[in-house]
Amino acid sequence: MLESLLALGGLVLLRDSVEWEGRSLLKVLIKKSALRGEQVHVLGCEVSEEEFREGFDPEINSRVVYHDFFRDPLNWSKTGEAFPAGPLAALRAVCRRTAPGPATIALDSLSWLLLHLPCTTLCQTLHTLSPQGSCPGASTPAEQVHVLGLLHEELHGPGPVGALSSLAQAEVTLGGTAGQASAHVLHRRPQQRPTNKVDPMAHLTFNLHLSEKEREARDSLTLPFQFSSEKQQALLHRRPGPASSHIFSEPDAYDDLDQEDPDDDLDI
Amino acid sequence: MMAFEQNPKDWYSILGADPSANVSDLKQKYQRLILMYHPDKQSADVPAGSAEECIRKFIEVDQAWKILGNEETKKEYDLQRREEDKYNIYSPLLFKYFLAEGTISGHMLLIASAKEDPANILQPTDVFELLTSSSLTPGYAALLQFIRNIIYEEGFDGSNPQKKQKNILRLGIQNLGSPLWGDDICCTEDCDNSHGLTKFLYVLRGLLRTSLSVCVITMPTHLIQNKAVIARVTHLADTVIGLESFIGSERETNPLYKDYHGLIHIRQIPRLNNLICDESDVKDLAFKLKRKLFTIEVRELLCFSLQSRGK
Amino acid sequence: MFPELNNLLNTSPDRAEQGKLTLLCAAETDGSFLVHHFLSFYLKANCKVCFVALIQSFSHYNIVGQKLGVSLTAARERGQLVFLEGLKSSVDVFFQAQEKTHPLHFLREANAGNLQPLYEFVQEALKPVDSGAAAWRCPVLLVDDLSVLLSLGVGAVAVLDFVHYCRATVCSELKVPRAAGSQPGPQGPGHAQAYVHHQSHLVLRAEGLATGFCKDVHGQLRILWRASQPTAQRGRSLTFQYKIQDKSVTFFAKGMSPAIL
Repeated sequence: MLESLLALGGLVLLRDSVEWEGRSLLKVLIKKSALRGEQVHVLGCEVSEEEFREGFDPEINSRVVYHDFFRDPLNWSKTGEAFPAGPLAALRAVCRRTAPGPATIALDSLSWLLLHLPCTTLCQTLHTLSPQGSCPGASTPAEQVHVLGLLHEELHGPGPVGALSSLAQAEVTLGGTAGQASAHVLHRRPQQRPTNKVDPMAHLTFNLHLSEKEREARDSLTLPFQFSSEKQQALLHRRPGPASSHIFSEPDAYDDLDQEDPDDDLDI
Repeated sequence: MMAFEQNPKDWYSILGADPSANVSDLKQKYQRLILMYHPDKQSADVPAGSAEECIRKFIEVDQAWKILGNEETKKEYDLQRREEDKYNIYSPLLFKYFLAEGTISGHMLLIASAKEDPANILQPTDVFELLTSSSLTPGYAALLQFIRNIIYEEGFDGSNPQKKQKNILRLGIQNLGSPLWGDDICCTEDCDNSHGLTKFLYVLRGLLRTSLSVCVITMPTHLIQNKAVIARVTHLADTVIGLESFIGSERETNPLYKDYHGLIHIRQIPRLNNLICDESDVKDLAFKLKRKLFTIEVRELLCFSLQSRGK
Repeated sequence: MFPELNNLLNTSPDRAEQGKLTLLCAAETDGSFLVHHFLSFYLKANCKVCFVALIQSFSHYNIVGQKLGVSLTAARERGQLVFLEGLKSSVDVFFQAQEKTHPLHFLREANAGNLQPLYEFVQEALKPVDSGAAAWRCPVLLVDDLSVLLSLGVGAVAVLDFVHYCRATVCSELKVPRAAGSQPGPQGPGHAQAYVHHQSHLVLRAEGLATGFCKDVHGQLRILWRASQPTAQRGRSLTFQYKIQDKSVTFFAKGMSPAIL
């Protein structure tokens, strides 16, 4: 499932909530991209760089470039270290600066950007990264740029969420019941109906997936009470007993011997 | 046609409908009653007196439908019922009791009202000093400045010597939040100055905390359009009490409440200087006003009562 | 501090955790006992505490603190506690023009702007002092409570930025604070509270009982640990009921109140 998310370019929207956080899934996707040799640019607004890089091997860490918007996003410390032009300019700079070759841009988080930027500006900037939106002379063909955006669903009204959703090539909604996490994946392919896949086994600690051999073995199993063709033959070829069966009945005092069908006077 | 009535009629009970009924229900009831009381439909041999009665009822029903059938007039009537009945009868009474208690204890009183002359609320006498703010232009900033000046000049915050030792300043502010104070939270849901009232309450609380004063405020919360404002106001106050009068509501005729005129809802009690608050077990308080005796009871048990003397 | 709550949270004053944001919220009930707990906890843990008290006066916290075994006056005198008293300062801010921007400058202004002055006050208060005096342990910021800021006209985004900065800069430069912001339940704009939820590592939520008022059980406390690492334990949540007494709070499992058993 995760492979299919990274197969095409464009925006992958990760929708999480307070109960089911999505940063870990974002990091898993970043790991996969890095292991494929892609460079990953992270626009980090919500956690510190140390916290974000926790859990990454040195090899992966070397491919991850962290643009720190956590420490001083609004330039309050006046040290000049921050990005003076604001997050939008930084985002655009990141988009333009990607070296030739496939790359991944991770936005942690889109919610923070939505709170500080107008929705229209954000949508337009994201659109320039999509396969439909990129300009012909871009250094990197947009099919090779993956954008992963983390969005905290409950923070925004249906309008902005819907707008971002319509820009996304794929959407993963994290949820779950009673302690078990699940991921609901929605793929949007151009001119095709969106396909839905719920993968309740996304984050399990044990394996519920079946290999091909296991699947074949399972399919060929006959259940004991299943009415299979063998059983059918067995029944049809029963030894011929009495040709017809008899019903013996003796009417008692309460029986109604009226032979008329009582349903006849139903007017349907 | 009809003589002008001093007491406004309860059009809902004339139609036999609940105030929460919708227009189609009201219309059904109207049509049923109008047929019942129509002069032409009455049988010929009824006694004269009851024929007149029928005609009177017929006219009443017709009148009721004229008011309740039209959306605009219905809205106006609904508003009018709530405002006068719910808060303008009982909350001024409690307001006066708070001030009267102060006069008995020899405290200084400061009364602020944008609606009526404070001198009408309580007559100043030689026994206590009364400061009024009826001359203030409406506006919270002006009121705050006035209060602060009094606190400073009369020494309630320790900056000047007090005229009377260990005196307490009792502040009474009426109808806070009404448009007469220049606040539009009762007029519109999305008001410009939506934080004027909360800022006023916050600074007022700061003044009270740093001086020997206490304040009782009455507020027409049923008129405030934006319910979030009520929640904020509740959070910024120490004690919050809701008064629910039965007049005009269906509880007026409910036999369960026949001995009472309304309910008292204790919405918030302060936890000051303590982890716990003195929360009583009883949450079911009702009040009644008979002659000059205002009684608060736990349904059948008598709790305590306040008796008014004079005005 | 309440020893039972320490056990539930698996902490103690000598093992105070660092670098975490704790959110205290309350719905349909009063959650101020949590603020008193954390205030006394960190003072006992020998941490430097900056307390932005917007909803009650200094004397209130001091009197309750004495019941819990800490003296705020003494802590303030020895420099362990920096106390910003909102109610008292509001009078000064409102009536007198200030030379430089006061942390609560938004009370005077029609358009509240951002909370940068308040943040700078906090930063100044928690700066490590090099004078060689007794070094305190990790700096701690306590805010009581954030919803007052929203009620007074400060925008939700401004409040979120303030929390962000407190968590970020005071955290990484001074390396260690823990911030506890408390706000009563759904009154504040839902978005602001939800966003702070997302930023928090630990959420304590005091709720009224669904069945209504009860003399022996004052409410229910939900503790939610939010994990941000895939390998760490997923968000763990526990629920307890509690009863507040004069000097302490007792906790028990749901339905196991001593009064009922």
